Amino acid sequence: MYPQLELNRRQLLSRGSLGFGGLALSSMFSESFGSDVPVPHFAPRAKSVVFLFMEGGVSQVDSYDYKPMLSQHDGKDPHQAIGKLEKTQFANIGKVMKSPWNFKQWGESGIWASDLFPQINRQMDELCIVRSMTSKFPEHTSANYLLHSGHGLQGRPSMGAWTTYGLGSFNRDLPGYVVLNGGQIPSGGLDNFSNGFLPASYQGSLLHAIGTPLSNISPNEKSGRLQQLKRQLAMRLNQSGLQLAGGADEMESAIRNAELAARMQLAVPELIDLTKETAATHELYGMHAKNKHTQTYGKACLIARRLVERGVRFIEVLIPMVNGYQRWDAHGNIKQNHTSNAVAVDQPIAALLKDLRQRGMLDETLVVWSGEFGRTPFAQGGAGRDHNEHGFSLWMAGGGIKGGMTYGATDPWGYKAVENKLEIHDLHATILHLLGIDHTRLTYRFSGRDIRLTDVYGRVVEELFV
Amino acid sequence: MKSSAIFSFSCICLFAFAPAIYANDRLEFFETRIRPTLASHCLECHGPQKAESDLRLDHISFLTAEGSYGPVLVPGQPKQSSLYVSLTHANKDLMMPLEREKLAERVIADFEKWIVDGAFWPNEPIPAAVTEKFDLATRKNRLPWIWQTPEAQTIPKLENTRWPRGGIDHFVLARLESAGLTPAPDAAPETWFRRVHFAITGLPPQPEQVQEFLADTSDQNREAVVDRLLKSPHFGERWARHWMDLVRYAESRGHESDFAIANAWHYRDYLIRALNEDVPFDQFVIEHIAGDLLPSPRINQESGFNESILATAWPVFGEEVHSPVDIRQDECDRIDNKIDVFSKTFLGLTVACARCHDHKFDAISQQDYYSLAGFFLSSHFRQVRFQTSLRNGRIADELESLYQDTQQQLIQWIADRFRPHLSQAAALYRPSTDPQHVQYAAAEVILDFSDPNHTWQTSGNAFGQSARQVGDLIIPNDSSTDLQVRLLGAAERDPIWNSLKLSPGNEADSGSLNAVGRAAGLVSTPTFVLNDGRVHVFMQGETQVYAAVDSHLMITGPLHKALVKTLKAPQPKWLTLDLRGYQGHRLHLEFGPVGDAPLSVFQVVQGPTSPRPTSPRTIEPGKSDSVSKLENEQLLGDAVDALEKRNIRSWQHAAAISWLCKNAAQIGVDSSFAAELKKIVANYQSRRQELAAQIQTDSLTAIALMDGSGVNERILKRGKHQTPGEVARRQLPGAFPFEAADLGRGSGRLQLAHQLIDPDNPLTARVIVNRIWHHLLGRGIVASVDNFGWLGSRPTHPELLDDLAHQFVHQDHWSIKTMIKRIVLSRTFAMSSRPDDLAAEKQDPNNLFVHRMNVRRLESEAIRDNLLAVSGRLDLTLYGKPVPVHLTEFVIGRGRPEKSGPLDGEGRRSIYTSVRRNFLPTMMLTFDMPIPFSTVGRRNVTNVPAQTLAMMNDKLVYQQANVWAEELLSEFSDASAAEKIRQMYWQAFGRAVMDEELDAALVAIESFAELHEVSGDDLKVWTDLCHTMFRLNEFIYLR
Repeated sequence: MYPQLELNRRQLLSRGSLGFGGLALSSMFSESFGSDVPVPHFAPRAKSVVFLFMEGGVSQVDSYDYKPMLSQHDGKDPHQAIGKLEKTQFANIGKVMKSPWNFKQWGESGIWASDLFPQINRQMDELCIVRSMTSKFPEHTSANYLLHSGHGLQGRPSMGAWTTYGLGSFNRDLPGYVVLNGGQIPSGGLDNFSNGFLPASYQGSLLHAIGTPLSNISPNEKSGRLQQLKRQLAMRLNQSGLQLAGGADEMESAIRNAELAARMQLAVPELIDLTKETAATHELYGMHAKNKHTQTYGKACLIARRLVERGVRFIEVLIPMVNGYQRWDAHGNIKQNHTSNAVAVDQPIAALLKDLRQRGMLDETLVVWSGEFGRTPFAQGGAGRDHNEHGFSLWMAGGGIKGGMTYGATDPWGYKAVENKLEIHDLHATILHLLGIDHTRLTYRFSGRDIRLTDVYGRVVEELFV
Repeated sequence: MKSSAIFSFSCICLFAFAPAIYANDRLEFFETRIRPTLASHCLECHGPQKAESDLRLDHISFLTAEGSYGPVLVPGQPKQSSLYVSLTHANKDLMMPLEREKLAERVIADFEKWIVDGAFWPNEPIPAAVTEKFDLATRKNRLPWIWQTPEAQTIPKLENTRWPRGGIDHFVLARLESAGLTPAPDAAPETWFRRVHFAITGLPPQPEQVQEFLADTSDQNREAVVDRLLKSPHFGERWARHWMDLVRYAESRGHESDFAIANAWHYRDYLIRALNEDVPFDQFVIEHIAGDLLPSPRINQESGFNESILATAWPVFGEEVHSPVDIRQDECDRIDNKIDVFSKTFLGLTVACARCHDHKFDAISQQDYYSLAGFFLSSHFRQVRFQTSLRNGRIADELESLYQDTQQQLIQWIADRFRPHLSQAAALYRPSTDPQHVQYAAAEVILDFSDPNHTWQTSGNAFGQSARQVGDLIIPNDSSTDLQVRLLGAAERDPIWNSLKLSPGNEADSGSLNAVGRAAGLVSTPTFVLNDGRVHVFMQGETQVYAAVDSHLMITGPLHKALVKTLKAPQPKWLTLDLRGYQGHRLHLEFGPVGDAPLSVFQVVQGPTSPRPTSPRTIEPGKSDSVSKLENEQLLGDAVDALEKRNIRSWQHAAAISWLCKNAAQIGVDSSFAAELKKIVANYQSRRQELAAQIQTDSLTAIALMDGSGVNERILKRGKHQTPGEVARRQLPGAFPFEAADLGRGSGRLQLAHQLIDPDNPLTARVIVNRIWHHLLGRGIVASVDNFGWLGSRPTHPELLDDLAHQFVHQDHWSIKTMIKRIVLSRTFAMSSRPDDLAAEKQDPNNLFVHRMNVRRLESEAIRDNLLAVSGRLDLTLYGKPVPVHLTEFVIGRGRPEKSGPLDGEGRRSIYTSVRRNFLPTMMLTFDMPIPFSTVGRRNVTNVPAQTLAMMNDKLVYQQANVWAEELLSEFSDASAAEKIRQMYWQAFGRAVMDEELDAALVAIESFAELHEVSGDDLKVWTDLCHTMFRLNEFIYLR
């Protein structure tokens, strides 16, 4: 009658088979229940997504959106130079401010970009730069929720949750949606990775690049033998409990979960064990870099690649704690802020692109680099920039995306998107499309509505595809 | 016949002739360049469904008809075609697509070319209009039963008459028989016993209790068991948590910094008490909607405080944003959440789906949505000194009547004394100037306490029970005889209340809101719309003003800091609040106390310039004396008359009386005047002191609603606040069978509440009865417990639901406990959950017919409580401040609490663990505790390996295994290993251990001991065994 309401056991197993509530693992197991594993709507171009979240908001006019007008009008009153200005978060509008970085053309494609990310930019011909992205909110949390879940408030499933709900995972021993914690949990907290109203199994699993990798993955027992003894005893006693329950489905699948849990306990340590990676790989990702944040982020990016190799669907990499909670949120001194953040991420991201390429994985892996919004072309106070949701840049690479191109444009100030303006919903529709999902057909009925990631919006931006 | 066929043929020929290829080009151009654009950018509003402005663009015949902006399409003439013009954005009143980006120039050029070339459109029939206009009757008819008041149902006739125990069983069995199914056998007594314990209290039975019950499993004893459980204070804890899921209870505001919601937990305790006392559900609903407005609120029997008011906290448990740039949008989002929670929780309706347009499926219009919004716009957040408000309110009443009595006595006495001396007085009297009265140049009066018809609100006691009026006497608060008469009305802080304090541990509001500080007393204006943005306050003393612009609460900067400001005026003075950033926004002002500083608020106006006193009116001596004596005598006489009649309305009269009192001696009033006055005043003061001594000075504060002035929302077109439409009067959705109530001056929530609990309300009783069924049996009769509408589920047992709802209202007097008792004592509830009847499993795999009980996984809270109960660590203390959440490296993020709570949560039940929105405990989330974003009447129930890992490796589980093992070893130190294991099974699973289980456990003990190289009674060994028991499925699943 109403499929989402009356999931029978098989559906439950196929939909919510693995999962770690809170921080948790989710995955599908195709072996046991082959026919129930969700299939894409059409042939996917990408199998996995690596989302490099530049939390706080990278300035577009200091990175990928070159605006000579800012130099020409540097120091002028933006109300006069630019005209009517939108309200900003800090309501402290300074002068028009030129970029402290130099711009030049990169790669064969000759795309203009600053020298903020020299190593990434050396692979400009892999990148598709979107210069006309917009958000709906100039506040971090609302914008983070929108970017992750298509809605500005807490409670909706994150795009990674939708992805695993729609596609399952290729790996049954690892979560389908992993959030690699480089140190900085975004504004809005873990709800950015929430399953919302989807079953808990689709929640993003927080995997620490440093420290205990995953919640409840490390056994309390020191000896493997003791673990085994307990597992054997539990198996026997569970069998008799199952008999008392007359073989009830719920109890039976819980028993199967125990077996899976045991395998996960092995898979996770193997995943984060980087000793088998070559010295060259360690070097490539910056794991011996001088800057410790480069090391941390390098490790996270390398684990991201290993997750892709293991068939994990959606991987988000969080930035390290470079300047406390400041993130890319350069309200004060943008030169100092963006430089220190860029040092942390530039080499590792470049390494990830290179590594995926040389291993032949980039074409099936969609890499998305974005903040929750951009920054104002005029200063906040003296040397910072305030939040700007009206136009900012992101880039994508691999996974069916055409490299070496730009799409859309902002006005001559880099303030508002004016050409081929895109919304976050369009980004979501596009990502899902590359994964083989029609965003209008991926729905879940929650209290009276068939809800989707893109709500009633979203356009697949096919112009970006190979 | 024949000729027409020839005619058609020739037509085709004409088309098919030379221009055939051309036509094909035009067709292709149309189909690839024009029609797709129309379809994706225009038809949503101008298509067969909507036809905005009566315009459709899905057939050429509509395009060539005359439109309200001139012809939409003139073939060959793009510039005369409003279709084309609107696309070019040349006319700013007509830019299409509406509120979207202009289409690409290339696309617009296509349209130009298309029109120039004659606007080719293939010959095709006109598509039928899909009229889906909102029609209430049609919509109700779609699902008529939910709009009909539930009636008592005839008990169905059955073949098997021996099985049923009561009405419920008759309905269930009738359904089964009609499907050719038979009910499952009864569950084993211990299974029923365990089931009923978790269902009612959420805690496992004690081993002795199980054994006692097994000795007498009669129906009478079962009833006694249920009665005992329903009387247990832990019943309230279990069922309060169910309700908390509905109102998305949280103690923090989420968003970026997860700021705390101060003192939220009193609501949780209210729920526990209310459920334990079995407060009838109709009363419970009234308290939730209008507990602050009840003429006689429900009193806490133990401590005498106001219970009812605590229920009104629920609307403010939602997420709150600090520094929203679009503050009005933020308000709309908050109110949307309140409407969502309200309509799902109490009515099982998804009214929030009608925010942008009429509901797509249900009998709920967009107007209905905004009609509900008004109730929330008219109700404000406050912190209330709930523990003392009733008693201190009575003291305030007595202070007021003491004042009125004394004033009456003084007035009579003054009038009698002065009347004989008016002529003498008139000779001396000089009408004074008006020091305070002002012209409101270009100002709009918001609140004027000199106008007796003004509307204002107060909360707390510091401003007394009513405002002081023009002509009221100011009775000296010392031994002076300086009797003054008020020339201006005022809300005035009475220093007698300066003794009020906050009890230790009371939490302060996050940010600079300081509602806690205003709990002692506040003065609130009606809600108004800012025009110029400057608000001028005529006041004396010191106050902290909160400007509740768009009901924004979470004030912490960088934006909106201007909403809280301190004003100080040693002398009566006009002070200005500059709120020019908020022109056109809605707000009310709240004036609160600062320290012990006095405060009088006289007038509040808004406008560009501060009001100024008119130039003093002076009377030149000599010139007017001869004339004015007569006039003066008239004036003084009128003043005394007015005083006596208690209707002084003008400052001239008030000033005259003041003058008389001051000049009593000069005008020949008896010399005993001063002495007598002193006596009256002294008596007044001493009686005030007596009352002051009775004030309860210390109180905690809780969140409550405060009624504002009634405000109706406008219908916001497409849900956008930038496009307000018609006013939507406050009322329940039109589908309910109620006339619009007279809402009076306030919010009208009390009237709303009465409609919710009206026995004719078709949904309130059904929805709660269905929720009770859901919690007891695992699935509601309507499975989608929060949505009875079209997209929800249909009832599996509609007659049963209606019969139960009818009994609930007309027989049980809305008693939740009675309903629970009825259900758990049914034979239905007592069925086994074993899926042994294979035919039934095949026919009814989802058990919709309830042919057996459902196997249930315990909720996250029950699992944790069970751990603590079995280990012996459970601390059954009721109520109180939340225990801080235990922080692990997986409970992280901005706004993380500074201190971690203990791993075992102090042994308290899970309901007492702090609910910090962004920092929910990992284990709770693993077992599907919902994120508190909106109503979740039915939790997800997942069955995933993460849960196994949690029970295997979570530190808490391991810790409790250790506690349990210690307890076992000390309590049963002499018992054999087998005895201990038997006891463990009783404790953990409420049943006897089976032989093969016992054997397995004994073998394991030996292996553990061997591995640890210790003896078999070592703590390590038993900890390992206890730890293994916890991870058994039987520990978290109920059969």
